[in-house]
Amino acid sequence: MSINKTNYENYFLLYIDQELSASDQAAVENFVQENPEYANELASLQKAKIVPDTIIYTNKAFLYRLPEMEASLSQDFKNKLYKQSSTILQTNFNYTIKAALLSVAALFIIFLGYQFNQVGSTASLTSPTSIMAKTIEITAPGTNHSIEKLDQPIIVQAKNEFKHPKKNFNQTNETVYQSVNINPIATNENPVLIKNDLPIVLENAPQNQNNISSINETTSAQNEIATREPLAEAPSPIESKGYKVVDTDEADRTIYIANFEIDGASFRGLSRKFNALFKRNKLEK
Amino acid sequence: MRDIEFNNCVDEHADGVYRFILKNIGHVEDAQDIVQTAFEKLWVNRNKVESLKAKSYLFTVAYHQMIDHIRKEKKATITDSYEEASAKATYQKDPELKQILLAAINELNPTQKSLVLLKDYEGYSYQEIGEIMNLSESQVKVYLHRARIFLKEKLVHLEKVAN
Repeated sequence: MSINKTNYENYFLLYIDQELSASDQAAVENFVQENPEYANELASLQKAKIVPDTIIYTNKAFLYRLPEMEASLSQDFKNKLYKQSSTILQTNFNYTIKAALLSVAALFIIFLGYQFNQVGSTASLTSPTSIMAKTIEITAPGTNHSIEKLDQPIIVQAKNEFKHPKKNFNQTNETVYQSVNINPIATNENPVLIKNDLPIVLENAPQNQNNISSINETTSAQNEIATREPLAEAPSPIESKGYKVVDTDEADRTIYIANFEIDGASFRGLSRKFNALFKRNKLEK
Repeated sequence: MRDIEFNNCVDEHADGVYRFILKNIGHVEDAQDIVQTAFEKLWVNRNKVESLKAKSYLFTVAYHQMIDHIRKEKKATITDSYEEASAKATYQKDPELKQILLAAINELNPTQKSLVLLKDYEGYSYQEIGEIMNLSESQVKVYLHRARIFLKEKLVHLEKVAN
């Protein structure tokens, strides 16, 4: 499509914008030469074109990138600057688990304390010493049953090998008494066969003679009581069993854990307070 | 793009970008801020922008910065500072004609104004202007031709009034 009188304006605009090819530019120039009445039209459009001004941006210094602006630290130096916070071990236990663990630990310690107490009090009984009880047959007067009388107290050689570093359980002058439990079935009519655990006297105690005499007295007194009671005839004797009564109310309730010595009574009081505190907390919740 | 190439861009294109923005918004300090922002963005993206396309990138960034600025200021009129800056500019032949033409340009809408400035000042093609201003080539052609005809009629009218 060539330039003509209907489309010359579009060609003129493209011409002043330098958007035409060389051949089209030549065509426009020929058109103006051939049609001089359109020369003013082209000149007016060229006048409307802005001639560039010379404006200088004075702050170029702020735009330059100098090498020192990009200066960077070496990696070795950066490594010296690195900091690492120490790791803190965090437990995920909540309050309930902690309380449960503390309770279990407290109960375990109390259990250990009682175990030590038990060992301390029964050391003499559970030691290799053989304790033999003597059976006494008590018959009512007038019957043919013979009464076996205790001639001598049982003398036990206490060879307790258990030795606590703090406590000496080889107490030579300790006497353990055992009560006689008479079967309630035994009446005046029935003869009673009493299995009597006699007092045990440790042999190596120097004051044993006094104990022996007291035991003899006790036994004879018991026999007298038995014989004084009018017992009816009984077809067969009823055997009763005796129970050991162990004195647990010792004044010394010290708990030994390794080299630590803990007062048992105080510890039990503390443990009770501790348990009461937990119970109170549970109730408050 | 290396540091040296970036600094060469400053030498070669800072004036043109500044002039383009200054002629559009007419405020020296705002124009300088926009130019600085454009070069900052070029520096940040220097590894992505090729040296040959740095000029187009600068004008594109500056143009969009300018549009944001105009929207914020809501003014596209020439201020006193622009008048002072224009007074310092060296016009070629007819200072009176230039003043008339300058006044006529300010009557154009911002898009037409930018089109004229990019075409006459920087000599960009329609395609390049379209890339900078995010317009199609035909849009650039139509809008620019309308602006040319408007300016021509303004000049012809003023000449008739003067005569």
